[in-house]
Amino acid sequence: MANATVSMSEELYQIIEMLEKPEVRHSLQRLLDKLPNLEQTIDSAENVVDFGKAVLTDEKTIDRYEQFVTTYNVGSETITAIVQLIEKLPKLVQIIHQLENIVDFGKAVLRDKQTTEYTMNNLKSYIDPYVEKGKTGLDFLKMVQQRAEEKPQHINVFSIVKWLKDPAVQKTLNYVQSALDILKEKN
Amino acid sequence: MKTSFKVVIVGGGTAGISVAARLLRQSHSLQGEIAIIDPAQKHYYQPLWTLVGGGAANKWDSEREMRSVIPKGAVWLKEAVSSFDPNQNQVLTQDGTTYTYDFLVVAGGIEINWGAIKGLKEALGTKSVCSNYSFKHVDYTWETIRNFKEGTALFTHPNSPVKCGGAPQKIMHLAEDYFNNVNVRGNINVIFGSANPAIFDVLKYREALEKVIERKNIDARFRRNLIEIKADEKIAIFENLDTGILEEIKYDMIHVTPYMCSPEFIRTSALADECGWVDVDKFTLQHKKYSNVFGIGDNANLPTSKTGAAIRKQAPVVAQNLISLMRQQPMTQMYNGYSSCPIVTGYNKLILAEFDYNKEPVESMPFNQAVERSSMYFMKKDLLPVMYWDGMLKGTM
Repeated sequence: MANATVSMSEELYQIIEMLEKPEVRHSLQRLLDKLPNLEQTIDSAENVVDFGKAVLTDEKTIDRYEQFVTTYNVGSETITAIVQLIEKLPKLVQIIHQLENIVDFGKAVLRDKQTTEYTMNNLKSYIDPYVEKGKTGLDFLKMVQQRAEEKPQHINVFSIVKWLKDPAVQKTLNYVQSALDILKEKN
Repeated sequence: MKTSFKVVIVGGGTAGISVAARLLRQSHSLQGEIAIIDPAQKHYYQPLWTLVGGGAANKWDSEREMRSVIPKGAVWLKEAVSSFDPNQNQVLTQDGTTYTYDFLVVAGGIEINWGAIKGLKEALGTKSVCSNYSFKHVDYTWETIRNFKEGTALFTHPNSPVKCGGAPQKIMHLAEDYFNNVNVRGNINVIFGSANPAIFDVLKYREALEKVIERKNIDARFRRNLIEIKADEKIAIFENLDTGILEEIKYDMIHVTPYMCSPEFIRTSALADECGWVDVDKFTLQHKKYSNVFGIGDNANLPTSKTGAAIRKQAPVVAQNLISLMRQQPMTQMYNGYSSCPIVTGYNKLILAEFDYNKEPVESMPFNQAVERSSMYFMKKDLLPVMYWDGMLKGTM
């Protein structure tokens, strides 16, 4: 009993000795100052831990979120893909940048009346000769139709012999003869 | 009035507008912080003038209002620059205003010196003296070619850097083709008097063009520099650059490519090198002395052809390097000297020359571009103008 008392006195003495040090006294003072804040922080942390515990024990909630997550195809493959995507981002940004330029260029062309007009005029200059040729052909057909209807003629064997002498018919028949010759040679 | 800007761009030509558009696309924070100083009311797509002179395009298609090409977010200052004070980060205008900047882009283009060839200024646009290098007179080139029936048709290239070095011979090829089409070629002697030592700098295209010259029976005379025109007598006086001897050529029509030089406000400034061009690093395009200054386009002392195609490759380098400096990051973009010259060799025929600082071909197409192709002519006439107005000037191409 006497030994125990001596030991306690020593410990008390050591504590008092420590408390006599100014830096310890200063620290204690600051600790006491911050005690209300510390208490609040500990309370908040406790609440978070309690919430976590409650969620973990709430099977219904866990089931619901598990079901929700499983409706998406999220798995280890997705995680790998995310990592790969991050890895490829610099290249992707370049491609997106180029695409953005192309889209913006397209928009600028469509909005630019002077460009549209210039392009249409140029296109017209390319198309016009063909349109003109088409018109000439159409005029020819119309004239033929008109002549045939206005002057119906009786065609006999002599008319056909006369046709054969026409250079235009001769030229066409020459092509037919050449085609027949080539076919004969190939066979 | 705001007189202090993050970026001041001197010149609203191809280079200035392209850089402004690219900077604004890259950083929206620069809206209202980029000033473009240029007094011109109109902006021209000059590559079309070759075709205008050859009667294959309308000159009004090459002209647009300057305000229509100024990128949204940039401030257009309709003034002419008179001098620079790069030590104080200041640009002074002829109106007496001083603008300050954090970064400066000098894109003042190239100046035509119509007075350097005696007799040219007075005769231009009359007496069969024409030049595609003047918007005002470019129609007269076509008028002259169209009415030409016999005699000597003379085409020249001066002893100075020019914008688009291929242009002096392009109009000659078109004219020669036209003379053929209207069956008067037999009555006409076509002469090319050039101060250059050869028809083209890059070997691959030079060989192809030499064959074109031979096929067309064109009398090409090199190291001949036009120094005087006697328009009344129709005599052109050339200096032989090797011997110094003066030679006269009697002509019946003449197409002149005038002397060109760096704009006066640049060549007399602290930004210029000994030849008057903006003194920049040929790879980064940053000024050699003033790190917050960049030079781009025709006014830069880059050892490559001065073309719009070259600017198309320079603009992203300047814009990106300037943004890097703003962010205090190292500059990473390098210009390799790329330039391109679509050499029209006739109506519907074109050799697309593309090359770098080493005069080596850098071809974009999957075929031999030294061959005359109608597809490339179609590209020049129909696609490049669209790419210019709606791509390059918008900062997307």
